[in-house]
Amino acid sequence: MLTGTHRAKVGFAEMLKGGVIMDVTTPEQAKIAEDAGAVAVMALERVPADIRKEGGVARMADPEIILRIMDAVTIPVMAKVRIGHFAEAQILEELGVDFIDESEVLTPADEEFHINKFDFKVPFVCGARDLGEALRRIGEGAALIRTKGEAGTGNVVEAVRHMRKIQSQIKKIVMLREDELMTEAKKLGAPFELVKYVHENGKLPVPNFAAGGIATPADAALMMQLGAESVFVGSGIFKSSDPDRMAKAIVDAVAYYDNPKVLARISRGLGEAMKGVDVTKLKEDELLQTRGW
Amino acid sequence: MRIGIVALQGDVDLHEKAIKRFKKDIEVVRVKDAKDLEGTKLLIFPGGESPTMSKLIKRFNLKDALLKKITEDKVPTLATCAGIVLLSKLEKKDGRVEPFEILDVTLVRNGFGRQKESFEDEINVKFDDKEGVVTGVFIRAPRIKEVGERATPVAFLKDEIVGVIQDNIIALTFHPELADDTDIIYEKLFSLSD
Repeated sequence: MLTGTHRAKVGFAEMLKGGVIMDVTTPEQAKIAEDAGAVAVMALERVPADIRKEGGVARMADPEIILRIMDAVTIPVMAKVRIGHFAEAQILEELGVDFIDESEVLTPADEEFHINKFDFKVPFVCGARDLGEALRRIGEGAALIRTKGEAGTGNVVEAVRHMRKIQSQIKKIVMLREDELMTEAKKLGAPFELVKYVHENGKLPVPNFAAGGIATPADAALMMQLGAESVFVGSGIFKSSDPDRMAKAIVDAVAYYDNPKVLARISRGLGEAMKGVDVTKLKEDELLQTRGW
Repeated sequence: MRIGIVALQGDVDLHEKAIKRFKKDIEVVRVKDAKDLEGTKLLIFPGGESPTMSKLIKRFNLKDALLKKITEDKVPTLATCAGIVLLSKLEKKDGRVEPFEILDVTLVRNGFGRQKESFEDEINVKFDDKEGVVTGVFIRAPRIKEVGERATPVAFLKDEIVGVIQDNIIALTFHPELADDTDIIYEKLFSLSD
């Protein structure tokens, strides 16, 4: 019997496709997410919008909170560690969380090295702004990639930028001649074998989800139509005026992302979405997406 | 031949890839609406999260159409992981999933543990006309506790039952679509339509 194989890790990411992963900070919120039809919850101490507001060093959540959330629901539970903080990851693996997010939303612990994710039996998801970054993370063992977007803003513009960038870079690699791939790998700063995989398959070797600023069913449908295979919603649900309805509507929107009739029906009367932030008004040092490389 | 994959959530892509690898000239329809089932000659319930699928089936009124396809039209049906959960009985009912209970099997969700206990191992497959060994990939898999008279065990992890056949349904707690040595299962599935 083999556990923690790459196939079991990436296979698990495949099972999460067509779903919504919701940020939660309490067992009660986790239950609301599960009842709405979330495929997983991300256990946190604060949602990204509050991390942004309160400042200070953002770290892995208290294991007590994570364990209480794991007890409350039967769907998978994910949790975040700081970039490069493999000791936090060891703790989360020991707790039994189902997926670890090595996340730019928390304050990075290492400005040079990401975690070697092959060292773990639990799968990892990592953020990316472009194809090179995505393939570097996969090269380190990530089983799932998500766009970084700009977390905690309720503004989908950065997630759109990152998803479009990755998709257009994939298309370009597919069209290149084989003798051009090494130079492209050098330009992207990505492992050659993975560039070759993209050239041959026209996709990343692991699923590709959207995250960072998704706040409405329409945002979720937009990301799915742009090529995302699932959606992470951070602050968007529990910072809206009616989290229960918003959560259900976003789940429905991801399943029926290509059906405007359904989208129009489920988008009605949801109350107020989270207020949100104009990303262009953020200062360079307030951006989360530039953390990690 | 038109093949329907229930596509509310889960690993639809891998099922499509696996079935197309096994058989050429088939048309795959992603089923999200009752009318998507029209003309389908075979049905697949993929893996994923059964609570999510169950809620979407309810919210979008798909239960009757799916049941009709399986129990009246009797199209060959493959259910894997979350798929077998949707068709069986749960040992403990909890409202998170409302299974169809058409399969004479009782199971517990996530019966092997959380993701870090997910595993692969050799599975012995024993159909009435053919036997073989396949790779079983189990991801937060359900665990079969009881098999009733109407279902026949066909897949075994050592002595433990991990798959059954009942009339036109093949139901497995593991993922044949994640391995490439599972042709024997697809052969049997297509033979049910002959």
